[in-house]
Amino acid sequence: MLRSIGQRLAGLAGGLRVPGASMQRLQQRAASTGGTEPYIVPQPQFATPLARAEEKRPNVMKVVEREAVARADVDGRAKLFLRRAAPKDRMCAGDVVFVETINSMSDPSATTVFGGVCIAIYRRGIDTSFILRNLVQNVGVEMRFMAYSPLVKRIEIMQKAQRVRRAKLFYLRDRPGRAFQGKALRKVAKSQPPPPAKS
Amino acid sequence: MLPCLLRSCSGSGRLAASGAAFTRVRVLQSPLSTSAPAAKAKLPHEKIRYAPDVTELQPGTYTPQSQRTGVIARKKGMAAIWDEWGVRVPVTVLQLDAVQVVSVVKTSSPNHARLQIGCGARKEKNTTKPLMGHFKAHGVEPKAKLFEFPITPDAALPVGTEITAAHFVPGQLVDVTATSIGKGFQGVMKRWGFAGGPASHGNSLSHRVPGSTGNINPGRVYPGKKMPGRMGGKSATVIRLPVVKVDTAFNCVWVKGSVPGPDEQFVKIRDSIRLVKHRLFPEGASVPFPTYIPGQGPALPRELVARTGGRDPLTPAAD
Repeated sequence: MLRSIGQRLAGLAGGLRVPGASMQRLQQRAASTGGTEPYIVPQPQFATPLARAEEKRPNVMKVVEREAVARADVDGRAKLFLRRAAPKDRMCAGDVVFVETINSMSDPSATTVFGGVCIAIYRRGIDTSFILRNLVQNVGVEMRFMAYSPLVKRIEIMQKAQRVRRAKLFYLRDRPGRAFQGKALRKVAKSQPPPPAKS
Repeated sequence: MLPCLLRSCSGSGRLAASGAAFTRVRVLQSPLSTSAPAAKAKLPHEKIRYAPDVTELQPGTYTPQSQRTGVIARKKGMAAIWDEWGVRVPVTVLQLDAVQVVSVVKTSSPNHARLQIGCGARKEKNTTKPLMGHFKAHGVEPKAKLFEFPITPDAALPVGTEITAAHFVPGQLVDVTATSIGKGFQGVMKRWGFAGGPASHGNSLSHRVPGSTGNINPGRVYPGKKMPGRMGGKSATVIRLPVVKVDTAFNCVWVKGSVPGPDEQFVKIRDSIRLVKHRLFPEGASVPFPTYIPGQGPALPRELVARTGGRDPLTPAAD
């Protein structure tokens, strides 16, 4: 059943309680998004909730997390954080990891790269994150990445960990730089852009 | 003062002091009385009550002066979502569980209407007889939680109408009211944000105390002075929360930010009312008025996510 013209017009004028001057600013802001529909339908669509067959009355929050991770898992990166994945497929503390991030959604071609030793992984569903540590010009730098953020374009494991007996490697903060001089890290350092020249 | 003459209550001190007969002035008197107060007051059965007469659920026209009904939902927990700009938005998931209009409440003015909304389910054996009679009179299953919402008469809904998550428009602003988590008896630092005292430098026994409670004049403590006491466990309203997502399969509304109270608690959601500088519904949105009627209009997708819009926050402003 189509809505009447009156209802459509009422919808368009709905809820405006802003004086005239700021109305124009609001209209400009809305136009800058480019979209015509007032809402987005997330892709891929899950017409029926992602629930297991044995869940007769699925728990809302569990399904929310499952669907969010399934949606964000565009390139199979969820396997990196699955505890039951094969050791060569999953990310562990101590691996040398390379991450490429998009600077902003307006220009997806502009990316930043960073690589380092993974010293911590926080498995929290959609909020899964990990910390990479490296030495950049003799200065220790740590970066924490949200694994399922749309700004994280690519995560690659360059080298698997050797002789690491901990889940969190915060002791590396007190260690000399020798831990960050491996072959894989040097390869990662080469792929990073040179630092800006000092003026 | 002669106690034997003064057996009066409020307002008749002068009469008693003059030795007149003891009278108790009451606002409501018997209909047989001819005194002035009785002529003004109306007995309960004489008062006029109004309620909008709505029997069919029909789409209406939303105006900026209209006020739609609110709903009762359950707080399910918090999650996160990334918007179209790649910015992480923390959200609270609120689930509508069998939300129905239980009754149209009678009010004293034809311009003001109220709807009683019920949420959840309660077993008949756990419902008191008076409540059970109330539900049966309106032909509604016993509900776990009832609450009234003020509305404008054009937003009235017939009894038994089910309100779903599609009642809310993605991107609109809502106010969420719930009982905050009780914190028990708390000191002034936690309860009122006092700074406390210095941790060292000779401070004796006064690290978290309130300090002075007033001045030498008037020489007393004002009523309402902030002091330690029970904190939390009271109704709290968070205003102007944007609706980030509407899930029609689970009947959930995702609002940005946090909401008072623990998980599984009943919360009340209503369209925001303090909107001098804000816009209630996003530009170009069609407002389901008085509520979303299934079958009217195109079928909604299962999930509707609000557009954040505006400028890309991750690029520097060009100015």
